[in-house]
Amino acid sequence: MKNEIEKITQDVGEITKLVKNLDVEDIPVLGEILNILSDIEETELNGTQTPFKSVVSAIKGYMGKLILEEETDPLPVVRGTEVLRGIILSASSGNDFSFDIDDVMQSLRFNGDTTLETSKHDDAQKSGDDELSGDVMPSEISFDEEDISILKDFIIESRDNLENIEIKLIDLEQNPRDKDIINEIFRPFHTIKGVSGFLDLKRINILAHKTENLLDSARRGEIIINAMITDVILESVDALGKMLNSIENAIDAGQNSFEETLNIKLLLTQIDQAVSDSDAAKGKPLGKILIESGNLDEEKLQKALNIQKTNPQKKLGEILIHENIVESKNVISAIRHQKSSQQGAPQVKVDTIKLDNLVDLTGELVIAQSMIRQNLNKFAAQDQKFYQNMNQLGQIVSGLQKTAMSMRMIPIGSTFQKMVRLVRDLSKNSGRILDLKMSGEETEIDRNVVDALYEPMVHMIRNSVDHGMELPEEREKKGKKRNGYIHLRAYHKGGNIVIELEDDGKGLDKEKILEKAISQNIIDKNDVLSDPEIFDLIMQPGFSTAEKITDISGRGVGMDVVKKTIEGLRGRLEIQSTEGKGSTFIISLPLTLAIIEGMLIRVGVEKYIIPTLAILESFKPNPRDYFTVEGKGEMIKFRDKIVPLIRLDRIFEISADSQNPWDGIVVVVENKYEKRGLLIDELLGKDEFVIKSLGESLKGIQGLAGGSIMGDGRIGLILDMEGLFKACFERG
Amino acid sequence: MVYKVLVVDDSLPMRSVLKKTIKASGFGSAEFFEAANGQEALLILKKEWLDIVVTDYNMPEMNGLELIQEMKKDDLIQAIPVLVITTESSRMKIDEFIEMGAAGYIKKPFTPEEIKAKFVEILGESNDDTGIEESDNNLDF
Repeated sequence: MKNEIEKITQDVGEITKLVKNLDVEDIPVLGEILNILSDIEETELNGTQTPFKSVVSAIKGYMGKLILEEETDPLPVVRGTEVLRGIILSASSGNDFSFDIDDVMQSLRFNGDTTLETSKHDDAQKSGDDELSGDVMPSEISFDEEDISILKDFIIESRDNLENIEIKLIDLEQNPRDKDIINEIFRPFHTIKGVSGFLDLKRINILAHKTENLLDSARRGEIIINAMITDVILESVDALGKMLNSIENAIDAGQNSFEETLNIKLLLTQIDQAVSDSDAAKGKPLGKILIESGNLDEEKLQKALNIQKTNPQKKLGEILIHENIVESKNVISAIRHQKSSQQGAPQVKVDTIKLDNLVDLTGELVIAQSMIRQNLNKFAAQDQKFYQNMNQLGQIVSGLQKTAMSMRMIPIGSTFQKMVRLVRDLSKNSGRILDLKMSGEETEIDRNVVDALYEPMVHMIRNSVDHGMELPEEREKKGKKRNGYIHLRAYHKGGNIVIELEDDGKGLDKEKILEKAISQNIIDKNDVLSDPEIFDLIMQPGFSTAEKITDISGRGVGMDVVKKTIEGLRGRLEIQSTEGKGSTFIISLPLTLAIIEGMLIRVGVEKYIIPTLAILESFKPNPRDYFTVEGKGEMIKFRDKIVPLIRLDRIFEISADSQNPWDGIVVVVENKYEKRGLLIDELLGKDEFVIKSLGESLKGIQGLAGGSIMGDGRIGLILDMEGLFKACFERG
Repeated sequence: MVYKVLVVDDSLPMRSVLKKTIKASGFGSAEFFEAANGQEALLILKKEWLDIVVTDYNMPEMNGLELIQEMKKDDLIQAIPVLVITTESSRMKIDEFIEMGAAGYIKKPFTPEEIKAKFVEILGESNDDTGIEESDNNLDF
């Protein structure tokens, strides 16, 4: 027994020494203390055993939390050790044990305990900041008449604001650095803090204050919003809600005083924890973190890296400790820092120019490969092995092409997400209530296209809300739901991505559009227009039917710009609308700008590519279907309609095989609801073509969008329908 | 002295407590006007002849700083003193407020005594006949 007490006395002495200058970051020391505590635990000790052992295991438990960084305050360990010493001293001097250990036990256990019991030991003592501690003794707050009226407003307003925070937090998780959203979340807490400060509602004030500080750090970029912070903020919202409820209850019960009872201390600690855990360091190299924390300089880092070169199996941290360059605790803390901030698969930032280059070169490779393939048959007969090798090369090339393309593809969701905010702001500013639904956010699209799509989508949504969406009262009168409905949809169709914007507003007013178009001399009043043609009018420059110019839209710029942008992306914009029921704007875009799907055709010796998007049909005309119309030139009958015929040979001044339309083939193409028949000699087949821009000498030619290198190494020219129609029109 | 105060804050209860505190300060007798943001404040400023503007910083649409900027552009209202209510989170902006021409700032929450001291500093003693109006209107003929 005596020996045992001696040993324990020694152990406790050892711990006391270690604990004296305990740094919670110093893992080796923490480990050593834990080992000694385990030794003590295993030692048989009679008499004083129960309280002694409880304290030992409480310290052990707390140490575990320190190591896991669930706790940061070493003070309870120091106190616990003091108590252990006291017990040992009294035991060895034969005195009865007369310590009250409740206090210490509580401090060792408190922070990790989830019950909301009050304790005298909390972070307040550490920070010495009484004002910010949650340990405000429940205090009576009394109000006068005026206060009660202010409080009522305060409760209503705060509740409104707090309700919105949840939605905003979801937005924020998508765009954790969006300062506008952070600011919107920040403001309610700011207001609650302000008012509660004047009304002496201490706990509400402290909680709002802490949360506000947290958001302020996020706003300044010092911390990055993550799931943990979001949770803490939501908890804070809940707690504030509860406190507001109890004030409301007090007021409703006719009391003119109120006692704050909800314990928020745990929550306050969590907020602190969230801040300290979310430093903005993002997977930086260990060396860099250490340099930034001032524990290492460039020169020494270089030295360590050189050692690493000769001993590649050694980790940098190991070398730094081994060579006594950096203290072990600093290395450990840097590693922790690094680990906690790494997420997901490692990523590399690449210049988009390099990426575009890669895509271009891959395109060239595909072409080069298909050139070889064209000659393949000659060799294949002689050399079976060569044939196999070529096939393998083909697979690799197509895999490479897919990967290169996918590198430029990003989901359209991020652009959709930005619309959430827009719709919310619009509803707020325009007095309409809008529900936004999104689907197909994961649909991938070329990043160059995504960037270019943002503006048109903003325009379209604004238009849709301002021109199309009725006010809630108006909607109710029409038997619609109060809330307007906007649906953003994205999906792949063929080689295209389709983006639809659907609303259930009042739809396009055809009469009004026609009236306006006639008054603006866009059309003649005798013109007979189909529905799509009428809807297309709203995309004419300068066209606006809005009765008044609002902040949102109605300045006559917009839809024409939208259309131009989308056509610039080689896409198509289509409008469907039913009066009274709503409109749908449909954008079809090629998946990527680098490749076009087209039909290869031949006119004489030249090859041209017609974008598949423009082709409606091709047929061999009957002599009966061909005629000329006075003033309009050659026409061809296509499905009971008469469309103008374009002779490509005349436009491009080349010679075609077939001079009579019935000797050749007519391809019916469409651009902006206008149809034309193109007279060609031969259809060579559908394929994907890598677009190359034309050199300076060909740039000015109307009707050509670009060129592509064919499998045989020759150039095929890609036709541009709009330019072609125009060129044809100008020639009469 | 009867003076006209414009209280600018996006929160209704906040405006109420501000009014209450100003009333309780015993500085003259105030006639209150309220605005929820800088935009609204400007509209009122253009209609009413106000003596002082007490504004929050962080507000939607137009914040306190932007309000001062706008006021400085308008000859008719640029001389109206603006007292900015600050908090820890806007403390970094104090220099900017002053540079922009704010008459002063006060950290919230504040007591009636504190706001009175600020008002005296900016508007002069409320019961003093040689108040700001006269000293500023010493015309030399």
